[in-house]
Formats: sequence, C-alpha cells, structure tokens
Amino acid sequence: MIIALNDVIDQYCPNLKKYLEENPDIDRMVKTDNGTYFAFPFIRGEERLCFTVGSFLRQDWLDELGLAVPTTIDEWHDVLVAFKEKKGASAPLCYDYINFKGSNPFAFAYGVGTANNSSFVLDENGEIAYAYARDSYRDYLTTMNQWYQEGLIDADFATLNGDQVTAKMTTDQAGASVGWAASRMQLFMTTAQAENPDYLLVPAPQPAAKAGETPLYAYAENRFPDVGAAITGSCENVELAARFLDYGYSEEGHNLFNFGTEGVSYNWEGDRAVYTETITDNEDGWPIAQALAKHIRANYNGPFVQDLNYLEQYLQLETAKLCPETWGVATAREHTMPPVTPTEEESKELATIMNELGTYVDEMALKFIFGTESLDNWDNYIRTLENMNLSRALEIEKGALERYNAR
Amino acid sequence: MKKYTGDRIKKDFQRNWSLYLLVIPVIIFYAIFMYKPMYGAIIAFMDYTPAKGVSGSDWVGFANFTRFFSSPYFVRLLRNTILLSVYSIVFGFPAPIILALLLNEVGNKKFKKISQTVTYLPHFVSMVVICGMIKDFCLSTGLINDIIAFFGGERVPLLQDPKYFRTIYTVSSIWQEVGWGSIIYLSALSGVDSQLYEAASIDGAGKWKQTLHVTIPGIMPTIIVMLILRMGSLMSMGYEKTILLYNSAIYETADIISSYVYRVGLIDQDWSYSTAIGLFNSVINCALLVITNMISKRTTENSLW
Repeated sequence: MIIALNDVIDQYCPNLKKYLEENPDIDRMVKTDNGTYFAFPFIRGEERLCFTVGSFLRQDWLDELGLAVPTTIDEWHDVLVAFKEKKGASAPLCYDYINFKGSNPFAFAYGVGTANNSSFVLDENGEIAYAYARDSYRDYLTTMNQWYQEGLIDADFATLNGDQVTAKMTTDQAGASVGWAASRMQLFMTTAQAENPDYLLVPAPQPAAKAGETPLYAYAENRFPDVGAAITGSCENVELAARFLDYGYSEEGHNLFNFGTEGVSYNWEGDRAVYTETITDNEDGWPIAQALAKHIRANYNGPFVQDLNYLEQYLQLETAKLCPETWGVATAREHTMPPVTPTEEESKELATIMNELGTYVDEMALKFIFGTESLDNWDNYIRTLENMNLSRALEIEKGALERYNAR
Repeated sequence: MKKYTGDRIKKDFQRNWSLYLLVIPVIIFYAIFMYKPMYGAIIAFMDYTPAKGVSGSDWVGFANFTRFFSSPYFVRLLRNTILLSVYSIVFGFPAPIILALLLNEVGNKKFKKISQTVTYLPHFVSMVVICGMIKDFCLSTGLINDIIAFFGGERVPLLQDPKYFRTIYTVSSIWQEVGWGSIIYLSALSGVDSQLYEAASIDGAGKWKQTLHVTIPGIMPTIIVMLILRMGSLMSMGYEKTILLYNSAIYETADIISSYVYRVGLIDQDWSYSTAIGLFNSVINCALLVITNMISKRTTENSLW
C-alpha cells in the first residue's frame, strides 16, 4: 500500500510544493480527482520535451530529385513515389508499425493519432472521441491502404522491429521513417554516414491532410507521463524518504539528475550547464546515450523535472536538433487526452471494454491497410465497435474528463 | 501392494537417508515454485486489486470465468489453441521418432554425429533469437520468399497473412525440437535386444520389416509415456513463441489462450481475469492427462500411474 502524500508534501517537501504551486497545469495531472497526491512525479520541464515522435526522411535524396520536404499527405505521396521510382527504394516508407501504430504523424494528419496509451482524442469542439471510430479514421485507412498497395510502405511493416528498420534506412532500401529523434534518426545518421558522408536525414513537420489546411493534431506526451516515486505504508521513516525524494526538485538536485556531477559530466558556461567530453565524446568510445546513463537520469525518468537543456545536447547532429521544434504543433495539447482517472469501479468496466475493442481494432486496422478487408465494410466495423459497448467507454471517459477539469 | 506404515518409512529412511537428502532440494523447489504460487490462483475468483491484496479483495465467484466464456474471442482462442496443439502433436510428435529411426540406421559414425549435432543445435538457441530468425526468414525479402521467387512464385509477407501462421509455427517447432526430442528414442533404441534382429533376419525380414516388427514394438513403452506427457501439455501452449511471432494482422489464427492472457493480464493489468483464463487452461490440461493415461492403460497397459 502506498500512502497519500498531501501532509507529507506540506511538511517536508518545500521544493516539490513550490513547483506544483507555480505550475497548476502539472499540479492538476499529479493529483487525483479528490485532490490526493500519491507520487513524486517525473515531469517534462517544457512542452517541447513532449514532441518526441515524428517523421524524417532523406534530405540528400530530396535535393537530388529537386523536391521539398513534404508538408501534406499528397506531397508525401509524391515524395515516396519519387523515392521508389527514381531512387529504387524497395520500401520508401519504413517503420515498425508495432511501435507507431497510433503515434505516427500520418494518423495525426487525420486527427486519429493517439498518445499516452489513450485511444481517445479531443476533437475540434473539445469533445472526446474514440480515435478509431472517427469518420476521418476511414480516410486515414484509405490513404494507408493506397500507399501499401502502391508499394510505398514496407510490405512487412507489421512484423518489423527497430533493427530491421535501421538496416533498411541505412542501406538505401528505405528513404523515410517514423520514430524518435535520438534513438532513431540520429542513430541512423551516425551509422550510415560512416559509409556515405552525404547521407542526411531531416525531420518533416506534422503533415496536413489536405493542402491549405493547418495541422491541428500532433503527438504530444503528457508533461507528467504517469511515472513517479511513491512511499509505502511500511516505510519506517517517512520524513527522511520524503526529504530525499524532494531533493530532485531543488536546484541542486535538478542539476544532479539532469547533468550529473559538476566537473565530471558537466561544466557551467555562463548560466548554462554543458556536458563534458566524457559524455559527448566518451574516452571509452561509448555512444552518448550510454555515457549519459552512467551520470544522469534525464534520458530515463525519476523524481525530478527534466530539463530541455539535456535534450538539446543529447541531440548532437544539426538536423536532429530541429526535431522537437519541427514536429510540434501549437494546438496539439488541446487535442490530447489528459491523464484522467476513472473511478475504481469504472476502470474495471472500462478495462473489459477496452481490451476487447483493442484486439478488434488492431486486427481490423491492418486488414483494412493490407486490403484483406474492404473499406466498404466500414459500417459493419463501426457497428461491431458499438456492439462491444464503445458508447459506455466514451461515457466513462467523459465523466472522468469532467472530473479532471474540475480538479 | 506394499503398505507403508510410519515404522516402515522410518526404517527406510535409516537405510537410505542419503537418497532422501538428495531429493530435498527438489522438494523445496516444487514447494516454493510450483505449489506456493498455486495459492495465488484464488484471485481468479476475486476482484483483485494489488492495493487490497489477496486477503482483502472481494470474492466474485465465477464472474471472471463467465466473462471469458462470453467474450467474443473465446471460440477463436480455443480453436487456435487446440489446432496449434493438435498440429504440433500430429506432426511434431512423430518427427523425433522418425529422426531417431533414421539415425539408428546410419552406418557412418561421423555422419551420424554431425547430423545429431546439427539437429540438436536449435534447441540451445534462445527462443527470442530463434523467433527473430523465423521473422527474418518470413519477410517478403527473406529466405523463404527468395526460394519462392526463384521458382517463379510471388513474394508474400508470410507472417502478415493468417493462413500461413499455423504452418510456420508447426514447422519451426519441429526444426527447434526434433534433434533434442530424438535423444530419448535413440537411447531406447540402443536397449532393443540385438538377438531379436538376428532372429528376424533369419526369418527373412528385411530392414523395413525389422523396423516395423522389432524396433517399433521395442520402443513402444517409451513412445507411449512420451505421448501421455505430451497430451498433458496439449493446451498449455506457451505464450513466448506466439507473442514473439504474431502481430495484430494474424490474430485470427495466431492468438491463443496464453497470448491473450499475456495481453490482458500483463499489459492491461487485469489480473483476476487473466488468472481465471489461465486456470481454465490448466484444468483442461489436467483432464486431458488423466484421460490419455486411462485410455493408454486400457489399450496398451502402459501408463504413468
């Protein structure tokens, strides 16, 4: 059993208390509907740290073909066709569907992308919608199906894993992918540039469904991604535990968690902490991710506030640095479901509905994309979702959202 | 039947205490890792939440079971599990016997040793690696498709089409286990009396007839015991291989009870429900074991107990 932290935070945690008071948006995420705190939260310090997934493609190929970075679904289509026909890419767009089935920017173009393990989005009117039942989801599937049939998406993309994507992206079999800035895009570049110095990837902005439209939706993680430390009822010295966990929110603790030890892993240059060569150019040849892991926690999580300065240095390559800025969309947060909490009873019911829906939706998505199920059966699909009690799930989420907003 | 009284056991213990000592670790192992966890199975009848713990959660009777039986996936999961199991018995069970018989006939010692090593090898490779290889082989640009394309066929992403999954699963399982499985039969084969072969050949039996009338009856008890054990695990298809190979495009044939339990229990954290499904699975396994043993006892006089 973990204990409620309200009194504990009041008494022993001046740093966390101060942070939560100064950031009511985060405060709302951390506490429950009735105002109880249970966690010393991991917090992403700025919005920009939340745009962690997006698309990127070969700039050197675009230059060679005289094409611009695509900004709409149609432009993407043209680019992918050019990659296939003129550059001989067998799988122009290649990503591991398992990891990005809901979070890829093409889904967000149609307002049906999902983040934070939720299947719900907030639509143009601020209403809750189940992403995979929206009318525009059909348009998304139609596009994906078309791309798949034309051979623009990797034929095996449902079974691919990260290593296979890496292999294809770094050997000219694929020209565009979806993923994270450092552990994918930057990694692909450092790997491929050893063989081909001209190899260059650039992030593409969140595409719009149609020319002239402004993209409204994008992948945005919650500032409090539901990770934190807690104190259990069997803890003998709650005060000590609380003071220890509060340290991460102090200035000193902040620097320790984000930059490590001064003089070893970072130095001050003006008022900016800059990683030393131990991190950026490790003497034992460690890649930066590994070198960071030895000294800091910012590339994982913990009871502290993640600093944007960490990410800016973690992304070493010029074009990789552009990712958060390029992928982000100002209105993305408005359309992202916040971390609501259904009541205990509701969550049982919701879990039952959602795991039945989840299996069906996952299965049908690929059938529609592969074309083994015709999109003419769309109405049938929607009816099945209704039969699986989708409307009850929506009702529960709606109630939970109202309670969340009232926090 | 001997009658064991306390006195007898005591006497036996005095005489064979060293053997009892040897068996202690095994008993502890079973008690800790096999019997103690069974206590946890009672959460199948509860509305379990970790906050309340096993002792504090509410009893819900058979609600979790009812939920599974009325789930839209129940029939499909059961069918997939049974079919994969049946395939693995129909094709997978005889495979090591056939391999053992073949190896037994090989005269060239070096060739025999090499064949054995080659067929054992996949057994020692971790499941994750094996499945990674299978996935690679099954890509539209993979080995199997290279062969298909060489003979003029069309390339298909094999693991994205529900109709190939059972074949891939069964064939790869044979590849993994055929060598290892054949060891027990090879040792049984070495125990067949060579005089029987002499007698058979004097009677004019060729190699084929000898195999049919001497070898196979000779290793029959081993085969039966192995079959009974295998039947007991008919429904306990491990989830590891399935979740490593499948994707949502092929749930139709690939989703089995244990992989569903994995998704519901570990990913969606619906512990009581997944425990109920697992328990249902175990009950069927247990029943199958008892039934097979009974049939075997009646028909062949070989049995486990």
